[in-house]
Amino acid sequence: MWSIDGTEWDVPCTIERTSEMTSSEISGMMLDKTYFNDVIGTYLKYDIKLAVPKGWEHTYTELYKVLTDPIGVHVFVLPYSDGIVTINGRIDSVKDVYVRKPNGKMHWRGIAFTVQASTPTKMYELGELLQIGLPPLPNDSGAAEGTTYVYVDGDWQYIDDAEDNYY
Amino acid sequence: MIVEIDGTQYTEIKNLSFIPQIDISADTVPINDLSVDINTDNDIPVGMELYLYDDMYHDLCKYIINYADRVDAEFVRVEASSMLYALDNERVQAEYVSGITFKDMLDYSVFVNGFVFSYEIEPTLAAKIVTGFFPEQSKRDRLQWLLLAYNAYADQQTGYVYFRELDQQTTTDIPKGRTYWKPSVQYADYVTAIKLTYYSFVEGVPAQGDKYVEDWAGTQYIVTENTLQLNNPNVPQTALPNVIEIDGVMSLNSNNVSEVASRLALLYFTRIEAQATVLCDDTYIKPATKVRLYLDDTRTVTGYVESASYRVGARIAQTLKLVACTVLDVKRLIVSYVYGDMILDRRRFSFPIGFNYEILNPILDIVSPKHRYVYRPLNEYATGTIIDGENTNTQQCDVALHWYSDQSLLHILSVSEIEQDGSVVDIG
Repeated sequence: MWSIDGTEWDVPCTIERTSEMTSSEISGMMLDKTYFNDVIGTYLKYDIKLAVPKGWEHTYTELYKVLTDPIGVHVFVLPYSDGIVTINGRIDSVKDVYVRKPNGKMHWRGIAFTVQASTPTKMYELGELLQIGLPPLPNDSGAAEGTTYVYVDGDWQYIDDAEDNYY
Repeated sequence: MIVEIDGTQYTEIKNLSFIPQIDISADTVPINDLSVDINTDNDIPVGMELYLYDDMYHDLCKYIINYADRVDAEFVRVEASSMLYALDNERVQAEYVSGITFKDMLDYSVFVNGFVFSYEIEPTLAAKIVTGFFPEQSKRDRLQWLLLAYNAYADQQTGYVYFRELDQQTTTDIPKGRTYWKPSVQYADYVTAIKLTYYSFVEGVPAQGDKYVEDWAGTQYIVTENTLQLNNPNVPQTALPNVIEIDGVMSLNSNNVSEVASRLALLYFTRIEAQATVLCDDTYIKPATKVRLYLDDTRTVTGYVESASYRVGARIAQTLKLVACTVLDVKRLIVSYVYGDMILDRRRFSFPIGFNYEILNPILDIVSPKHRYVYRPLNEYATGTIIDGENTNTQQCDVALHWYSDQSLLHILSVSEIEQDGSVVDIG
């Protein structure tokens, strides 16, 4: 059972969930050869395929109308881990298939669409990002390309592969 | 980012353009401004104050809105400028001043009548004595003459405006870990000399042929001109003459001209400019800040920030334009930790030449199949200054603890403090 804009739809379906840790444009490579990943937040994406049973043509048509409304954002209630999650999401496209049989019967089937969350379900505030407990980026001591850093006892050290020494 | 207008805070913003800047040469007074689209149903009135903060409510600017128009059903474009923009619209009369403080000149000559707002000023700058002749001019030009002659600039990111002297002593270091790949440098043409004309005035009726000026009341002053020229000592013989001349700025006198020339030499004789993008922590780089950052693994660049634009993500990055730059080689420092003749560990660092380092010495924990040694350094820090050459520093250590693993025996040899609570021993 899931809902769009307050209306529940008890329609058989398969749901594929993706969590995207979306990075901002200021992500990039630093001069110490560490990649800084500036994650704005975790955004959910649901790929939903419906299997509307025969005889449910009215439900199919009504659902198609709702899904294809030219609205920027819908409110979805969807399954999430042990419960449900409410997200503001957008639908960019809806597709299905038209089938015509030799006996002249025809029908639409297989609605598929993707719900992309407009707001993150998880994010850190700027102050939390700065104090998140991750160690600061190493102030590089001139290591050569391919060097591996190890964070030990509150300090960055790198391994000299040739001599197997810690620096 | 948060925009606040008339007590209402707006967080749904986009297309923020915010590039604070100064002119190190004080040849102009740049008016800092910003442009942003705000998601609101409200009308945004012109003339209101606009505040810009980061998400932790650190102040970034306090401006006045001079334009607001709806761009679509959801967003209003707002443009705002620092208070100094009002100075263009007002003029001040010609006057000769002598022995008046810099602050009094601001109060009675620049920020008089018209659009009045509060400002702050460094005490040493406020107390400087101004002597010179100022023609009838706009208030902005009057301010520019003062900033040029007294080594000052307008910080338009502190309060409404904060007048400061250029700080040539304090350097802000930016580590590699906060510098994006990869800064760049550009080289301008050589400036072969700087030539400034400075003035003195005597009140009186000029004779034929005398140069003179006249103030708003008709009082005449006979003008004497002199010139000061600084030649660039680092110019190759093949360089074509390229002289920066400042002439006609009658706030320059025999007391201030040398300092002005030195500051201009700092800017023009170095001829190097740099651009770098840096990741901000909980502070931001403001224009006029002297910064040092790495160009690559072997060089650093030190210069003054002329402009600093903001790029917003979950955190904030700034793109800096540096002027008056010097480029220095980075040298390697090896700090060795020894116990007697035995080398326990070595740490490698890279710093620019002349850098005064202070590195916290670590506790060393060395394990072998039957023994474990904990060594403590005899000095808390390894200190020194980086030279142009090989840099080494040896730090002596002593054995603090020795654990014989096959005998389950612990020798406590050299520690600062020790506490035992039952079977638990805390050692410092």
